[in-house]
Amino acid sequence: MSKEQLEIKHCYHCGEDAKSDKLEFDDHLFCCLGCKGAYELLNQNNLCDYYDIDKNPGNNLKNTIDPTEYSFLDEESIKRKLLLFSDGNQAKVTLKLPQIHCSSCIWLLENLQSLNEGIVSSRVNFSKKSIHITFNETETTLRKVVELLANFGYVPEINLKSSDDKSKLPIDKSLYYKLGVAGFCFGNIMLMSFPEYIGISGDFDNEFQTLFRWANAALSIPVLFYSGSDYLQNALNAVKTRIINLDVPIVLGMLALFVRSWYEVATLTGAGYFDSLVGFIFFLLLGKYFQTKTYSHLSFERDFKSFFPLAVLQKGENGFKPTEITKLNVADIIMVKSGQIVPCDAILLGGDTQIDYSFVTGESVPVSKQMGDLIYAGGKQVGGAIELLVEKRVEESYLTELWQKEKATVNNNGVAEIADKVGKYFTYTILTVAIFTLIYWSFFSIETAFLAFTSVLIVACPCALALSVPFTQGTAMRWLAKHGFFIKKSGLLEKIGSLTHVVFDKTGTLTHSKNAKVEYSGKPISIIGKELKSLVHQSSHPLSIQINDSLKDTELTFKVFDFEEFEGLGISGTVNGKKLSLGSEKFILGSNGLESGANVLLKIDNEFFGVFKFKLAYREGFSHVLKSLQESFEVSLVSGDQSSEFENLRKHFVSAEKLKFNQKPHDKKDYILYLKSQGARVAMVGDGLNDAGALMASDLGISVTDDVNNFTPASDVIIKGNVLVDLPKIFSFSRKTQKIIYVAFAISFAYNILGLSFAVQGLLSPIVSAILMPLSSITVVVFTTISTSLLAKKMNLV
Amino acid sequence: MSVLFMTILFSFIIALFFLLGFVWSVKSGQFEDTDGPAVRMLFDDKKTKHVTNKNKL
Repeated sequence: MSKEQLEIKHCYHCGEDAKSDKLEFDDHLFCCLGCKGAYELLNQNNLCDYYDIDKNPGNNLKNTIDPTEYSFLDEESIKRKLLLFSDGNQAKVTLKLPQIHCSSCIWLLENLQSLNEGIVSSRVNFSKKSIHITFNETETTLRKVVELLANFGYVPEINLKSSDDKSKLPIDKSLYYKLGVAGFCFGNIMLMSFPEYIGISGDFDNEFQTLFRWANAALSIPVLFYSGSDYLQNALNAVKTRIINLDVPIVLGMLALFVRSWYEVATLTGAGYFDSLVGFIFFLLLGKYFQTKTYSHLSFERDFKSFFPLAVLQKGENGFKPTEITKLNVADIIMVKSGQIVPCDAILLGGDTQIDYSFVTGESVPVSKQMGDLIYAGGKQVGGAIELLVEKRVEESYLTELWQKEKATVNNNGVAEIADKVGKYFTYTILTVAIFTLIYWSFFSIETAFLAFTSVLIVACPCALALSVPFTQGTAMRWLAKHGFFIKKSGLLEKIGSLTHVVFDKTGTLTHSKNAKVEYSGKPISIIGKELKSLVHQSSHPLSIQINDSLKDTELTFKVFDFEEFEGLGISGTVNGKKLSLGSEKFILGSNGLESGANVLLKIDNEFFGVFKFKLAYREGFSHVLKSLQESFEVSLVSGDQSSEFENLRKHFVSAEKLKFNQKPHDKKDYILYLKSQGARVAMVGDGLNDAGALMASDLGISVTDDVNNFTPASDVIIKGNVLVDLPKIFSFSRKTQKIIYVAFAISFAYNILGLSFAVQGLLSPIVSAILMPLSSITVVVFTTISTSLLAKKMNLV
Repeated sequence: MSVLFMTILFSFIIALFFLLGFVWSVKSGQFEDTDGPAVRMLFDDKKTKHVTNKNKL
């Protein structure tokens, strides 16, 4: 095993390229000191099984954390917000670790007590990517626990939101209970209806017949009133508000079954239809369960809070101390370290720096800021530690305020789901037929009239109809999720079918959020490529990483001496006897460049060598996406950027009016609202916080992300960046699933009509009902799941 | 025929146990993480120092 690893030279810990630094230990190669350290720690504690369960399971540790970063966790007020429980002795905490990805992770995280004596127990929830830790407060602290996790690259998500989340609502498990009760009663009722099915009731002991019937009647009560309580409640609400939905005919059918069956049992005239009633509710609940499959590791509701840190260093009398960001006031002085988010609008007090706004705008190239510049909240600081003067409180900052305003003004007018629309007509039709039947038969006998009336309601109960939507959409959602297109809830699929207009953001959506296109000009790069690659490999600055990526064909050969990183300026080092410097114009030429942010200059042995320019890199196949979407939708673009890309993009759009540049976040939202007021059904495709308002205002907000664990603004759909190319295909798939639903409707109507023809004649026997109702349900379930899966396969949605 | 009464009663009681077992399993959180346990059962109990690779070389 290790021989093979030596050949491909992957880091034994994290599996990344390990050829750069010849870090060897115990016959294993490592890519960086962090990974080696993690291995040594595990080896000392006899925890090396970690490496046997999954290959190269670790998280890359090149960018090791600053040990002071978690000092805020020693603050009593912050600790109290995060801990679920603490009695001064034992404490419990649940942390979200998005890096959990394999079985080795579970194993290591559940053996934490071998690494820290103070940890009593730890339990991983793999689906939610979280860990529940119980620790002894007398022996260790929350900070130490978090630091231990971070040392292995499991950096917990601790942000403003995680402190609110503490009032965690218990998970709603009632559907499971309801399903359990319905299943239990269904099984028993079927068992006790068996004699009736095979018709042995005639010569069967009368005593048993009565017992079985009464037992069935008793078992149906918890099913109708507990398991079916949601349906009863919904139908009641629908009648009260006079908005008839599909629940109304369902409940009519249920009640008719229930009353008719009790009547039969009580009058000793028959066995009733308890099996049909209970089976029907059981199937309905199954459909509901199938439909409400949630992606617990994804969050569709993130706002700025899940993105801002919990605390920041604030200048006090005795130096810097961590403070909760919500307690910051105007004119406070704060310190933001490299890699941290600026939590509020603030003025830069000292030093030049670069701010990465990729979370906000999707722009991948950091922006240079100088002393005295106003820095908007939400930017990630990529220079050295900087001091800032708070200009506005967190909740009054431009970004957060925008967010709250959007939230208040946007009201989503929901599209009525098709099933409910159908349900409305269905209800009126059934009631008409039932009443006519009642009137007709009442000329002959009141009893037959009652029986025929209930029979109509029973047989017309749209059980198959009610199942066709959840099973089609549930299956479609699963296929789409496999493909990287995650839908918040299944009803949204119908919205996709009715869209008329698609609006795109540019930066981060049509372009890559991580990688810009690197353009080089100057002396030929090939003669210095190897040395340059070795140098940039040492740095974790986003621009270094991008230059490194652009040199991916070059091999890492040399060792770097005297490596130095000048925060906010550049890097330098001696490679292969040459002194290389790489950085901003100011750093290289000593002059103050105009826009030093986007250009990186290279100097070798004090001689200017060349310039790297960073340009937006469009996602592969974006022109194809735009072209094929424009065949069936109106497509437009709203961008917060200058119109410099206009010429480039113009050819991809039908008309120049469709391209809007210089759009502020609220302009984007207003544009969506304008389109909606023109009668369009709009999908917004965006990525950053600046699109949040537009995403919420649209009929279908789609947020694009290259890493589903990363931040995405609140939206209806999360799509992986690499499947954006398939957006036209996904849309047409969603439209086609609607057709499957219509066919399923037709099938269930056919069954209803067949049943009705029996019922209006007063010929519906329990056995016909017991066959017809499950048969129609099963036909619809089988038809919808199979045809949706076949459709997905045919369209290559795998 | 009264033996039928007994068997029906027993079968009902047994089924009731399964229902209670199900309710307990939901309550104790067994449906909260459906991916973890599948992996967890494969872990060995003993923790060993890493020598296996050295031997192979």
